Amino acid sequence: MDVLDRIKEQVEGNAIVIYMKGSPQLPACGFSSRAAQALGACGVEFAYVNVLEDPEIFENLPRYADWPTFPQIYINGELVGGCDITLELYQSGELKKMMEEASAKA
Amino acid sequence: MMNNEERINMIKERLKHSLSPVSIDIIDDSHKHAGHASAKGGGHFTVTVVAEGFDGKSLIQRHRMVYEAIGDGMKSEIHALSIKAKTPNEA
Repeated sequence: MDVLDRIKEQVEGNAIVIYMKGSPQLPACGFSSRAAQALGACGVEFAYVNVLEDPEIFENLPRYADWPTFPQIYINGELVGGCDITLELYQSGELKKMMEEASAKA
Repeated sequence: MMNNEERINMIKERLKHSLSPVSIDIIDDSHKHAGHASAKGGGHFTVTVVAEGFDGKSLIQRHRMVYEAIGDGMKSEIHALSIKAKTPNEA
């Protein structure tokens, strides 16, 4: 399967997914770590893809949604943003709401 | 490859050119991340941009405007960029 189709399947097949360096348990980058922590603090289950273990996704994810950096957080198949946006949404309480709604729909 | 001072100047010039900001503040965070996995050279920066143009735009649209302004600089010279994009009213 083409890598962009693979990404599409992941973001559309999971209500919430984070593409990160490392895993939520063992993050390999501070930005990925903080974003995964914010997701975790919302108490809603989410999927993750470790981009360091999938070079093809690492290379191609930036052009999927035209976003140049990692981590990338998708809710309901839509790019929400990277670490800064995720933290801002977390602090305003909006992230929890978005995650709860997405997970209820799934 | 540029050094970090050149990178900061590049970011500043490109943001000024595209966003006509009221203010730009760039902090070099590279030392915090030296040598971490997959850092591959390239700097880590935190940029705070205040611009009228962000008015009425969502967070993701604002960040896209910053990435677009920096353009190809994101690919090679910048490893990580933390962005705070505000309007003059929010700053």
